[in-house]
Order: sequence, then C-alpha cells, then structure tokens
Amino acid sequence: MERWHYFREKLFEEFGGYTIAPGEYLGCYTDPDTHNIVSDQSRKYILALPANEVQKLRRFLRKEAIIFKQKTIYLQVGGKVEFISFRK
Amino acid sequence: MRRRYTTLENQTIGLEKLSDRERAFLNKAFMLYARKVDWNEFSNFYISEIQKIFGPVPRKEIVKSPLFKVCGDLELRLGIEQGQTRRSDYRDALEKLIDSEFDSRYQFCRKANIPQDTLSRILNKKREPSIRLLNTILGSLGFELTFQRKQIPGRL
Repeated sequence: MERWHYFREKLFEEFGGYTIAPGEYLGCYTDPDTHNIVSDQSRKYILALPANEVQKLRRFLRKEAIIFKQKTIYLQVGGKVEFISFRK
Repeated sequence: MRRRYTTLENQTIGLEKLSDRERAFLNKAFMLYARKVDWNEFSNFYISEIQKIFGPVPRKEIVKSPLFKVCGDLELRLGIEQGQTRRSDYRDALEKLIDSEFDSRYQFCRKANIPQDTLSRILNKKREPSIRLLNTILGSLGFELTFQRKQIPGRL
C-alpha cells in the first residue's frame, strides 16, 4: 500500500482522527549532518489529543520517521516545537 | 448504488449488506470523488464522518470495514490523479528488499559494486536503470528479473 495512504490509516487507527491542513508547505533547512541546504515539501496534520497520549504520538512519529526516511519530524504540542528524531 | 467495489489493488468489496445510513454516506463519498475534490478535503470528510456512523465500534474494526476501505481507495485515487502520491512500483519493492537484507545502503552498494548516488537516483525516481544494471542490483540480493501477467487496476 502507498506510504501516505497507510500513514493516514494508521493515524486514524491509533488516534481516532486527524485534520489535514490544505496544501503543501515548501521550505528548506540545513542538514545537521551534511550541512547541506535541503529543500523539501511538507504536509501538516492536526490532531486533537488528551495530554496523556502525546507520548504515544511521539513514539508513533519516531517509527514513521524511519518509514518516511526522515531524520526528524516537526511536532508542535500546545505551541511548543519539538523535533522527533528516529535516533532517540 | 453498486453492489461491489473493486480497489486499485484489485480487491473486491461487497456493498450489499450496507445499512441505509452507510449507503447514504458512501453515495456522498462517490459524489465528492466525481467532483474531484482535493484529496486532503476528501480525507478530512470521510475520517470525520465515518466515526459518527460507527460510534463506539473499535477503530481497529472500523479500518477493516467496507466503508473505510472504499473511502481509503477513493482517497488514494484522488491523490494519484492530483499528483500528490503515486502507486507503488518496483522501486518500492527494491527499497524494501535492500533495507531488509542490509544494515545500510552503503553496505549494499559496496556489495553490488554500484555508486550510492546511482542507487539513490533510482530509488528516488530520478533515474530509470538499464536492464543490465537492474539485473546487477537484483543479483546482489539473490533475485532475478521475471515476468508476470499485468494486473489491471479496478475501474470505478
């Protein structure tokens, strides 16, 4: 099954729903390992979760970072930004 | 209302046993698909509506339901049509094989004697490998090219 499709299905199964922000986010960042500028397209998912499920979400995203071959995934919880890395 | 639905992966889903409410929901989903709404908009629609239909049913059961499968397939079709995603192809299978057999791409490239950049360009769809190169790659994994009858994706 296609990765994004599977991701959405798992997101629903694990957390009961989501909202996808319209469009794609085009941006760039400096890779901390290679120091190269990398441009990338991102998608934004909004989840309404009780506080005690945030840790579960972090674990979920850590696995997804491996599947999507991302060094980090941007997560914002209650206005605070976190970078979820598969290495942690 | 159709009696069965065939997914892109040629899975046939029976729709005979749906309740009136489920049929109404699915009709709306087909209507949105026919209007070619944005795939994210479609996803937001069915994810929020389907929970209302199933109520307290566990989510693990919902994702196995005909409604969820059909909507997921319609969403996938929209994503492909709108260029947001693509169907899996041999590259995905190749990537999976390499990742399951080797600790790193570097290790695999050393064994196959191909530059890492070449493999990266193939897996990222920036280069089509020649048959010869593909045979080299597959040979390093203990596989070979073969033929099989093409599966025609389910039509709507």
